[in-house]
Amino acid sequence: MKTGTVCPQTEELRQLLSSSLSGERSQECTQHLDSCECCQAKLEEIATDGTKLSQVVKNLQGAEPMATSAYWPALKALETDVSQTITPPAGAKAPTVVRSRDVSLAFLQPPSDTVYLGRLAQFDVMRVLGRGGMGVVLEAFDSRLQRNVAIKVLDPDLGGDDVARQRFCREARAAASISHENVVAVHQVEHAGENGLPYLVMQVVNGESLEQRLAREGRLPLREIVRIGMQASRGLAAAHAQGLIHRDIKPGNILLEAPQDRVKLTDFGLARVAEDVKLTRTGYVSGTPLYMAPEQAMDEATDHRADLFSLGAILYEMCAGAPPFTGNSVLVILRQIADTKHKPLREVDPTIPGWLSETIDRLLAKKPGDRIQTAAELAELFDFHWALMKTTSEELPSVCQVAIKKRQRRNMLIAGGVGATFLALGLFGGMFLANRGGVAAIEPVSSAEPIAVLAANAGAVWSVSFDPTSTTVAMGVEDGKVRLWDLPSKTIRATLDASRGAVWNARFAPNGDLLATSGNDGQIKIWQPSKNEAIKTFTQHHGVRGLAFANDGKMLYAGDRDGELRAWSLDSDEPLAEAKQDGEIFTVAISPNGETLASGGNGKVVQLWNAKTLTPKIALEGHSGPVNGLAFHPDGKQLASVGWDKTVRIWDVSTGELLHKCSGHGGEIWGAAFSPDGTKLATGGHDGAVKLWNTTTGKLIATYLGHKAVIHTVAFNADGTLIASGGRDGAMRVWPVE
Amino acid sequence: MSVGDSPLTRASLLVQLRDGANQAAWQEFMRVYGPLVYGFARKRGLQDADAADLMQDVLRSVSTAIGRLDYDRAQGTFRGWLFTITRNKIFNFLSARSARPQASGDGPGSHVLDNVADGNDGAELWELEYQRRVAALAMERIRSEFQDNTWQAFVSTAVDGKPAADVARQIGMTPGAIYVAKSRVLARLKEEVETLRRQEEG
Repeated sequence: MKTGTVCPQTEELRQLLSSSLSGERSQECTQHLDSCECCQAKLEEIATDGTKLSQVVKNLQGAEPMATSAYWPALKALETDVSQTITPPAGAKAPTVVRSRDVSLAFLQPPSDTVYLGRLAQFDVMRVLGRGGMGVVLEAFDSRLQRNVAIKVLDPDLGGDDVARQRFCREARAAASISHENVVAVHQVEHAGENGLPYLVMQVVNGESLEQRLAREGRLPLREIVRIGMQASRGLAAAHAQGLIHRDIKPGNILLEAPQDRVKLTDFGLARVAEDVKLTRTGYVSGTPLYMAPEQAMDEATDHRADLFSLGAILYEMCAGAPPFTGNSVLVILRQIADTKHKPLREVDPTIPGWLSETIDRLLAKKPGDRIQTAAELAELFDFHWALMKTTSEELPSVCQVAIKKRQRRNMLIAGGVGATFLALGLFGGMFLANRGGVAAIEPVSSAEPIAVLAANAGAVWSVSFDPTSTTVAMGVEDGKVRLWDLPSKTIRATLDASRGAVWNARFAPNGDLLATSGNDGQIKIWQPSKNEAIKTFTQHHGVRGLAFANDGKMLYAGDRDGELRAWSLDSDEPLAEAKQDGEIFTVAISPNGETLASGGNGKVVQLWNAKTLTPKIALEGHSGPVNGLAFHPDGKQLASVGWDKTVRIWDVSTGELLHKCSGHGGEIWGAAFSPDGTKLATGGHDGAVKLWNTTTGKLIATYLGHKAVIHTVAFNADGTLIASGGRDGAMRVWPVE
Repeated sequence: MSVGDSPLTRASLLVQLRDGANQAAWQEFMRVYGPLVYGFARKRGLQDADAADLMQDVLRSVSTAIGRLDYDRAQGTFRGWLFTITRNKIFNFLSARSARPQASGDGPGSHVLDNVADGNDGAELWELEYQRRVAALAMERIRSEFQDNTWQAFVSTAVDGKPAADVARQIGMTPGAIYVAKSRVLARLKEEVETLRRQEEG
């Protein structure tokens, strides 16, 4: 064997780089590189040919800003802002509304009424529900049939292509031919006006997608997995029977319709149209590879069994909390899908019943021929096991019927035997409460249990407030609506349209007659709880994040994102006083005697003002990051501030001295509230825990767990017996005070 | 963030950013351009908090402008446009600063302002920063494609600048193998960087 003193050819070095050189020769070259500086340099040159990559990567790892840099909170704030304008995938009723100016609706006719965005044939377009890869989805009112519909318009960018249009129409007509309770109904396929832009008219589905649900909950309970699997495979079977292959089954395309979370599959066959067009234009494969079947990933012949693989991957994710194939980039994921066997569910979670993990394993077989061959077969399997599982007493009669039918229909002796046995022994026991939509469920989590969990599932909750009688709780949500809940019955009494953007504040006046709300559209509205219309509106030029009602019930103080502070009176249309501070205001609080106002925001300094004149008094410095929440002690002498730096600071209002600094929260703190007797302070924040502090000692009294995401707001009721908290998980929890 | 929706592997980033529903695209966007603007601002003399504020300002302007489709591709690359915005904002910021008394004695204002004023607007510095951010992102994305040893070899030599002989002894590979590993990763990195840049401009 040569000791490699002769330099390899350039071509050989190239092959060495791409690992296409023979094993023996590779070894020789590598040995040569031990000492030949010339070839060492050459090899690197070939690798970085035409770029200055070697220079670029030098010392690259030091390029990120330091952990303590102001960069990170600034980025966070930006991300939060941007996510305020994000809308959910098409087909589901959106928690947030996309601002019209962001979407080009030029193809619409002028509206028949100023309340609408525009008109399309007989449809009055009310708002944009979302934007997907294919186009835009609108919510509209069908003036002919007098019902709400969803209209999906093909993206004008894609619509220009004739081939794409024809395909769209063909696939859409096929989708329209499916009539099944588990498939979103497509009513019509039309063309708009002279330019002939095609659109679909579909039923509006009120609820969320499986993707949103998984993002919130991670793994789902077994009963849910079986139910969703059953309904999804039924829908799929109906579609396959019409000859339609979905091709892009993913959690975002599985909608859960309120109030029973019934599965509705959407976007049939349309994914393919978009993909084909994008492929031609940009040369890149689009679509989510996470649920893609191997034959799709490798661009081989695909039939309906690819849908079954995708459904298997989704079932896997519902069981395991993560999809079966993951990776850092599309390429890695596709390679895994094609080559690597998935980790069997039994290894991930042994508590999953054998029949389910085996079924999923079968669905995830690499070769289509090895999978369960039809969706109908899969649906029957789920039907059977669903019938075997415990169910609610209200469903008891129908399940009995199903069990009987199964016995008659199938030859499975076991099924017949078991079903009959269950009926005979009356073993359909167990009660489950139906937790859907706006109905509350009691979830025992840790030591302290909430007395109510009010879930609107409409988006992050930014503000909660009790009325003085503690029978109504107001919930300000990022979808622009304020929901008034009746606490004893745990139902929604009323929904107020408070803002075109997120609602930042919903606060009852101390005497309870009125409710004040403020939103990201800069509007401050006053409501009478019995009426669903605002009786007064004040406008500021930027989103109003800080709002406080004075104890006299007449004065309102508002701080907006441009740093403008205003004192409003219910008796006047113009502000009584104005001031400006640097940066954005996130929170304001008014002292019980109405004389001192406190404001805080991304400027880190808490500013105290004379409330009547809005002239600055003392500045409280100390927080190392933005201040998110402020609360006055009922005696008016102390002020609590919380924010990004995870500390709770309690200040003396007259001297500005820091009295306490409490640490203990695991992350950024967003909300703070004093109990009416001043002995306790409640805080909530990033770690999803509500903490209760003793205000004399500064020590932690209790921690309430249960929220699944960051808490934005906390509030006490008038007699200090209850605390309400709300946050990003879209639900409000009411806790008994220890 | 759902990796499967990794936006930089789909249609052009900018088209996706216009798609208001694409939160993943925005996050990726901010991960590249956030540090770019911040790093550039720091190098131009702004202090940490100011650079962070500036970064926020710039990216906010971008997010609004993209919605209104203000960015006209015919006039140049996206990052060229971003650079113009950043440069202008830094200039405005420094001009405003120099008129006010500095809170911390020896402020960064004046001499940098001079630099900016006489045409040395840092275009080269910007370009380098940009390339570094893209390379950093690319490195994250290809990391899992390599064995630990290979990656370590690359990082220690190409990034940390250690001599190959030392690294060889540390990891237990021959020096020749170190060079091969380093160059293989560089070659893959070059590919990935090209893909990312193509998609940005796509």
